[in-house]
This record gives sequence, C-alpha cells and structure tokens, in this order.
Amino acid sequence: MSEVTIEWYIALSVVLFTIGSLGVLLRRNAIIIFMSVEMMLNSANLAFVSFARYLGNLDGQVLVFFVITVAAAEVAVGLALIVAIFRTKKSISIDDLNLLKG
Amino acid sequence: MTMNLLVILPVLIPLVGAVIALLWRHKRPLRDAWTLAVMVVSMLASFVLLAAVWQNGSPLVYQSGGWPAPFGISLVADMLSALFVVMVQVVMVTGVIYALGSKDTVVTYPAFFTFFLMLVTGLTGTILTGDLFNLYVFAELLVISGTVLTAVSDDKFGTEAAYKYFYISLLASFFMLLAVGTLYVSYGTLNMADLGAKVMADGERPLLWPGIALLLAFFMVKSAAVPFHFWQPDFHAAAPTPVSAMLSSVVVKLGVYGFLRMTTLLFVAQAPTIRLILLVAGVIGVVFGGLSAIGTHNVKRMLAYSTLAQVGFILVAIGWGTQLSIMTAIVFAFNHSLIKAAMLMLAGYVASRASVKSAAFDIVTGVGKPLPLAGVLFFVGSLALAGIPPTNGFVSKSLLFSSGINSTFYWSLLLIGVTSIFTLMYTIRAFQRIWWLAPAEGIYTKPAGDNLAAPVLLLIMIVALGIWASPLVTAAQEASAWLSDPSVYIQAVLGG
Amino acid sequence: MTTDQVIFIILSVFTLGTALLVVTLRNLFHAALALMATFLGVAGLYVMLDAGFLAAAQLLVYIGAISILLIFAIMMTRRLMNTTESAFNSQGGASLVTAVIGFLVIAWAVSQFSRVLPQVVQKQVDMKPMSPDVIPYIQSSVAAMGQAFVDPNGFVLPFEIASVLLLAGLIGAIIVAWPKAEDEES
Repeated sequence: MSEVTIEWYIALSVVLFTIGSLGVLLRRNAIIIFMSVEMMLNSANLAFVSFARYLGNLDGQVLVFFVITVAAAEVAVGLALIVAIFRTKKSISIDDLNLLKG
Repeated sequence: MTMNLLVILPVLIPLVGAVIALLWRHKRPLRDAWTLAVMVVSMLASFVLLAAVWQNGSPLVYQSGGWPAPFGISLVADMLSALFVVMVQVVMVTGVIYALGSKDTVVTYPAFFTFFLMLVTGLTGTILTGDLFNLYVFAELLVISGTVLTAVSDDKFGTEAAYKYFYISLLASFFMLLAVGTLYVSYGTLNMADLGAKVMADGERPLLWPGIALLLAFFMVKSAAVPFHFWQPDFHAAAPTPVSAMLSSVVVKLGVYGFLRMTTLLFVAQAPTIRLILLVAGVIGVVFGGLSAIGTHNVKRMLAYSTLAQVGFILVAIGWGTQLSIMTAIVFAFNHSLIKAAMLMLAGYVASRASVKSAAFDIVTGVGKPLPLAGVLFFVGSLALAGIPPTNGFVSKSLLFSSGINSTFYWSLLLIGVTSIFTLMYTIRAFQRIWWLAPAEGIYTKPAGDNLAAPVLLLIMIVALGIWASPLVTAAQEASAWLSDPSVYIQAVLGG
Repeated sequence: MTTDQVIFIILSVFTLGTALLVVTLRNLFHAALALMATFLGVAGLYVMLDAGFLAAAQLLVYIGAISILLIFAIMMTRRLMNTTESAFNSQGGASLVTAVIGFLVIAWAVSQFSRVLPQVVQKQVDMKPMSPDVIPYIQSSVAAMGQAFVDPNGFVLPFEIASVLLLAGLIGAIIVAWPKAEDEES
C-alpha cells in the first residue's frame, strides 16, 4: 500500500463521526451539542466527497454542496432557538429543558 | 407532455405563493386573501392531478428536459402519491381557514403564512419526488418551517418543543443522509424507480440492509412511530393550533407514505422483514398510545397520543402486507388526517374560549357548556376517532378488521380490537369533562374565540365520507392495485 | 511513505485532535475556535480529494458564516461561560457505551466497502492524483458542478428548493430570535 486510498478517508470520517456523537451524548451545553452535530455533518460530507472521488463523478460533490446549504439554514434556525430559549430561561443547559415532561 | 406538467403544480404553486406572500407581509388582508387563494388553487390542482393520473391509467412523470431517467430529476405521481397529495392539500386548506379565524398572536406574524405555505411545499414535494436526495431536501424544508411555526407559538413551551423537534429532526436527517450514502455507494443511483429496479435485479449487496435500516428509522421519526415517538406529544401539544392540527394529521403521514414506498417499490424482496418490524412497532404504538392518551391531563396532548395509536393501526395494516390491507392503510390514513385535524382544531377552539388559553383539563373543564355547536362537533369527531358509524372512522375500522381477518396475524387483530375501546374511553372522557362537568371556581368561558368554520368543513367531510365512502375506497383500491406491481411505477419512470 | 500519506496523516491528526478539543474543552469560546480548526482540516482533506470548489465553499460557509454565527450565539449567552457545574451531563456511562456500539456498527458497515465498490464502479478512477484520467476531472470540476446546478437535467429542482430553504432559515432565525412583546415588558 503506497498511496492514500479511499479506506483511509472513510476511516477518518468514521472516527470524526464518533467524536461528534460523543459530544452530542456527553455534553450538556446546547451550543456545544450543536457544534458536535456540525462536526458529524462534516464527517458525512467527507465520506460523500471520497465516494465521489472514487466513483469518478461529481454527484457526491453536488450532494455535499446541498448538505452544506441545508446545514447553513439549520444553523441559523438552531442558534436562533438557543438564543430564544436562553432569553426566557437564562440557561442553555439541556438539563433545564424539562418543562414538558409528563 | 402538458399533462405531465400537472405533476409539478401542487409543489410549485405553494412554493411561489410562499415567496410572494412575503412581499405582502405587512398588508394583512391582502396577505390573508392571497394565502387562501394560493392554497385553494393548489388543492384544485391536486384534484386535477388525481383525476388525470386515474384517467391515464399509469403514473404521470414530470421529467425535466425530456431526458430519460435515471438522468434528470423526476416528480412522479401514481395513485398513491396523488391521493396523498390530495389529502395533504385538503387538510392544509382547512388549516389556513382556521388560522385566518384564529385569535392567536402567532398568525399576526408577517411571515406566518409564508412558513405555512413552505410546510405545504415541503410535504407535497416529499410525497411527489421520485428521487431520494430530493426527498431529503424537501424534508428539510418541512422541518425548518415546522420548527419556526412551533417556536413562535403563544404557548410558553413552544420554543422548547421546537428545540426538541429540531434535534430529533437533525437525527432523522443523519439517518437519511447515511441511507442516501450507503444506497448510493451500493447501487450507484438515487432515483427511486431505478433503485427499486436495481435492488430487484442485482440482489442484496453488502450495504443494502444498513441502508434499509437507516431509511426505515428516518420514516419512523417522521411518523413518530415507536421507538421514535417520545418527541411527538410535546411538540404537537405546544405548537399553535392551526399548526399542530397539520402536524398531527398530515405531516405524520409522510412516514406512512415512506413505508408504503419502501415495501412496494424500493425493497420488494426485503419487504417481509420490514413489514414485521412495522407490525411490531405498530402494535406497541397502538397499546402505548392508547394507554398514554387515557393518562394525560391536556386535551391536545391526549390527541397527540391518540395520533401515536392511530398511526399504529396504519402501520399494522401495512405490516399485514396484503393488497386489501394496503388499501386499508391508505383509506385509514386519509380518514385519520381529516378526523385528527378536526379534533385538534376543536381542542384549540375550546382552549381559545377558556379563561386562560390552555388545553389542560383543569382549565377547560366545564368551558364547553355555552358552546353547544363545538360540543356536537367534538362528539361526532370522537365517534369518528373510535370508528362508530355514520362516520368515515367506521369505514376505516371495518376495512381494518376485514383485512385483518384475511391475513394470518390474528393476535394483532385481537389486540387492536381491544385497544379500539381505549379510544372511545379517552375521547368520551374528554367530552364529558369539557361539556358535562361543572367548571371549577374562577373558570369562565370567554365570549369570543377562534372561528369554527374549518372544523365544521372537516366534520362535513368526515360524515360525507362515512355515508358515501365509495369514491375514496375505489381510489385507494386502484392505488393498492398499482402498488402490488412495482413495475408499473418503474416502467413509467424509466420507460419500456 | 509517500508525501501524500504524510500530508494525509498530518491533516487527520490535526482534524481529529481539534475535534476532540471541541468535545472536551470547557470554555465555549475556545471550543468554537477549535471547531473552526476542525473545519479547516476537513477543507484541507477536500483539497486532497481534488474537490477544490467544495474546499472553498467549506471555508466560506463553515468558517466564514457558521462559525461566526456560533460565536455570536456564544456571546449572546455568555453569562454561562463561568459556570461552575460540570460541563458534562450525568449520563456518561450510557453515552460511552452507545457511542462505542455505534462506532462498531459503522466500522462493520464500512468494512464492507471493499466488497461493494468494485461492483458499482464501471470505470474506476485511480486514486493517484495525477493519473491521466483525473486531470480532466479536476479541470472540469467547478464548471461541471456549476452546470449541474442549473441544468434542468441535473439538480435545478433541489437547487431552487435549497435556495428557498436558505430563505426560510434566514427569516425563521429572525422571527424566532426576535424578542416577543411580553419579554420586553418584563
């Protein structure tokens, strides 16, 4: 094995995805959770780009472009939600989001 | 070719309407009239589409540029998608009517109807698209508009409910993205017809099952099926009434549509396993939803749990997998959309007349006494939900039982028979509390509230479809006959 | 080891290291900076995959826009920066188990790739950067993508929907974050 093959990229993408999911599962700050989600999206994008490179067509890259667009819209809405929640509760810890239980 | 343009209209009209509604955001009468006109025109277009598809005898395909699939984008209307689009748009029209007569401050927001129309676009698009990646993009549009509409709710839990919904939807998006990735890398296509044909022709490739599982999980989140149900009651109960009436009725049907497509087009050979999963999830949903609905202390929450149970019935019908039971699933989905939208609007109406705007039982007990019309409507709606004639709910339930007897899963039939009684229990209990019991100290009924026009319209449809069920049943029969042979869809898209 | 491999390893260590920092750092602002570095590392990997346009988009959208939005959100909620409670929630054990199981499942799925890929690829492009097959691919990448977006036979419908989606996100964010009347009274 002399070159960087697709498996390397996929492996990297999987590890990045797992780190992101750990952030989502472990942290209690809503913004950090949000950052971890973005990281997971990035790892999925990386996998798509390497598929596209491997398959030799542009479809994967186009898909990634759309995922980036969708992510931008989601970030805007998600952060706005976090700010709105902070304004009423003065906290963005997900442990405080329990009003709806029961 | 001109006929094929019909397919894009139910998506295009609300999309353009949404953007134009933004121009008139500060002229309220103009904006309201525009929204209603757009929705009605769009609904008429979807009826014309259904008629055209039916008359055509095979699916209509909008293929951009006239190129053959799998190149190019395609919107596909077969009987199933056309019927579901009609269902969505009819209910959405009543949603707009309710919102126009609503006293919520949320409907006065300049962009409220823009997001409402985007919700319509997203939902219609996911149902009509013939491409998995387009489905993802449309579903995101649905999520963003649903989140925004809930976040601005008058309910003080609105923001928090929207946040939960947003995160569960992000999770669903991951499922979908990874499903798209695995299926794309395994079969080299995302066109649904092409994918279905390739899966059939090439057999199972190593990543097929992970792809199926991810896609299944995506649609389960969308339909709030067990085990992805936990967010649904919070979200549906805290959204503004016109929005929650849409979410709990037609938006959850996206998942139902997805399951039907998966089992009859995409993964026909793998369908028995998928059906078994749906059957188990459905039965658990029926029992859990029914029991939880009995234990709630809020009318809207009760109805949200009832959605869980009713979607469970539909999943069970899909799970049986016979042609008759698939027809039942379609009829059930259609009828439930009308019933649940009407019931949630009535709950919202009662809440709007209560002294404090809330649908909690403590607050609304006795509020219904001066509101006889709403009481009659709620009672008829309860009958429909529980499946008692002369309502369309009876048609759904009797079809469900006859298709259950035809299939071999007697135990699930017995179970849903028992749980149907739950439905009657909790709806009648709610009726009794609101219209029968005396109000508590300090609780009074406000002189004015939301408008009853939308639930009246829906109830008329509910009774009409109960007495004169044959058009819907025939259409659903046609749809299930088309679904029984995947090559109908595949040939229409790919040609030859 | 070839140069490519060295570059790849440096980039991946950088990306994964900063990603770990994002998940573990206590200070939100530092975490956001680390996340920008992660995005930068991924952009570098895009360049290695001959996706120059996407690398540019990554820089513009993720580092230019999304990170700035994140920092704004952090500043608007900054009273929480010096909180004394633990930064981690109380479900550490269960989460670790879930993540490890998830990792194993994905790793298993990925290990199937070598069996899948040859079946799909008719004309397999060599992963070597400068093979004759690839040069036109790189050169046409941006132009071809641009055409694919607006070509009716390509992605024009999702392109339009995505633009409406961005609009929806923009207006939605303004509506959601706008102070409600009752908030200002209090």
